[in-house]
Amino acid sequence: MNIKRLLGPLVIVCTLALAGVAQPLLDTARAAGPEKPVTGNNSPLGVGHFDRNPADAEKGYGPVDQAAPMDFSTQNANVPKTYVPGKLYNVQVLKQYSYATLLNQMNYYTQSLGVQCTYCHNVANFAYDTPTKKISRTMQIMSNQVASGWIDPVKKDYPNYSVSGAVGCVTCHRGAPRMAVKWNIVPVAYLDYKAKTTKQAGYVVNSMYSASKSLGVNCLFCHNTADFVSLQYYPTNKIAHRMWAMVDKINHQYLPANVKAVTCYTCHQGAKWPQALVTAGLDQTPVEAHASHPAVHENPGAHLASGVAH
Amino acid sequence: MATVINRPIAMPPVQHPDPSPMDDADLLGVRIGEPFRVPFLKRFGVDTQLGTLWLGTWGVLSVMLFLAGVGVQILGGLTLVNGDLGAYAHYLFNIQLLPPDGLGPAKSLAEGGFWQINTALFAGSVLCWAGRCYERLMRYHWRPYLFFAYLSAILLSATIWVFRPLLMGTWAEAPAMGLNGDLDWAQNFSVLWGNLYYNPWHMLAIFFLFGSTMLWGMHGATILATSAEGSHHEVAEIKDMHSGSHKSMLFWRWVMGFNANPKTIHDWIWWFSVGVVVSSAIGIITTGTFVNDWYVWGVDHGIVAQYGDMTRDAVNQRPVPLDITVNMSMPRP
Repeated sequence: MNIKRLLGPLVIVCTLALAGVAQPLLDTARAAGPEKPVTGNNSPLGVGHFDRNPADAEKGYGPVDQAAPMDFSTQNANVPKTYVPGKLYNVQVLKQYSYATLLNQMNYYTQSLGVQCTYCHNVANFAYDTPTKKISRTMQIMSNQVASGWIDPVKKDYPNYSVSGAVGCVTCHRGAPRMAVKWNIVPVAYLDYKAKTTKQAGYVVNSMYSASKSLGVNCLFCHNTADFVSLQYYPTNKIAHRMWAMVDKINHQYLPANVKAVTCYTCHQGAKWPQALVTAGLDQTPVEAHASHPAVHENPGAHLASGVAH
Repeated sequence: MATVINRPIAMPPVQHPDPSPMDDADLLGVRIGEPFRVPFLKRFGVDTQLGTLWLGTWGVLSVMLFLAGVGVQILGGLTLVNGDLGAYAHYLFNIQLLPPDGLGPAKSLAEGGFWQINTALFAGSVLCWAGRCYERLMRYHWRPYLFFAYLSAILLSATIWVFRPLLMGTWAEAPAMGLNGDLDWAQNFSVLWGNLYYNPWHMLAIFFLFGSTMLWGMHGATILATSAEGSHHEVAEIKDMHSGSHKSMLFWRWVMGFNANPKTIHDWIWWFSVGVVVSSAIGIITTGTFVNDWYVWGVDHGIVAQYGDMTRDAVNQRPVPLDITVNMSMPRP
């Protein structure tokens, strides 16, 4: 046995091993560098692997530039030019809160998102509206609508499938102002009719695997092998359909048109029930169903369009 | 009795009426490169010489079309990831150029235009390569077995990418262009048109595929086993007694009662190989056009086992546990 004969197979094994090592290194290098926006997916998935619009990067996400001069011509009448600490100005969503309760709530927001006050506020004038502050207003309304309009009805209809705890900022954010987008799903309308072409079937199949991976379950958590299509067998199937519609609603109504980033994974992150639920009372934003808030319903994303990059 | 088998048979010597002049300059045409030896290849047990390469018109055209297709693929992929090379490497296996909806020209490059260009380029490339194969064979006045084998492989690809989408009336039935485009297509195809394993033509293709690998294994193992006795001179030895090839034939005849000879084993393998792609192509072209769902087709034609009354145990006629029966008794939509 000539040991040199092993040289050839050895080269193959080493090449494969190197290739296996190179990919994680490449990913690490990519993660370390500045995150470049990715866009242009031509599928109705819209987002997912290719999730970001490059224009978003210039739309004013991120901490407020405290040194930037304030332009009061773009602000509403409630924003004072001379800000007095200890008083409430320009409160549009959290109207019922006293000053002390509001501070608690703000503290909770900073912990949930892992940010400081300066992420949304200009500390020289806390009432001054910034793009991030406008987004957070929409998010407060969204959080309340999700709880009252989607989660609570599911808990009421399927008590066996509900857990204690409520959806709060931290359920999705988990200590980061922007979340990674993973495992995208198609709009719920795609589930309601039979796919006509193999390409359409692919969208639905991909979304199903996204959902099952996001929840850490397999097909049979919701489906019956004897009849995959019908919703009549398992409650989980009906719940999933509702949650799917909720994700659709969040993406289209509360997020700007070019950021459809919420998927099953955003909340679930591999668990059947989201692990980061909040206890009652901590983040129960008492919004009186601000359905008429102009930033939300009439023109989704208007708060971003008016935002000035700073 | 056994000695009868080794009785010499008088055979006339093989006549070569027109031996192929392999070194004729006219037949060879233009070749590029010098013969180059890579002794390292010996480690893999293969021949060590690289080159020379015949520079045929069809081959040059084929390579040019192929490289153009690769260029379009990379270009289209880069538009998907917004020109980010890191993202391109990260999503290398997921990047796909999707086919357009409908049969007309795509609305834009991103909505199927890249796919149409790429399909045309790759179709031209493989057809030109088939032309190269045919031209090379014809120069030697060989019979075009190789050409037809390659053509049958092209037939399957063209059925998947072109013929069936044409019949179905939309390019969206074709696989996307990308490294795992055909993988995803196979999955989605089975989901939409019924489990392909119940397609009888798919069954036949698998029979041919496994059969050809078995034949290749038998043939390769036989020749390697008797190479010490000179059986790599296969056809020349067919007339010789006690040669490696002759002993190989005797081996299989004694083992399983039947044997191929050094010529007919290649007939067997050739037809099995072609059978794989031809029966696959028939199975693909009938999906969606004549048969909507292969599992349902299997139910209708008695392929799928029907268990009768599932609410009763088959042996003891006792009710089976509720958690099994509850779903079977539900009405189907």
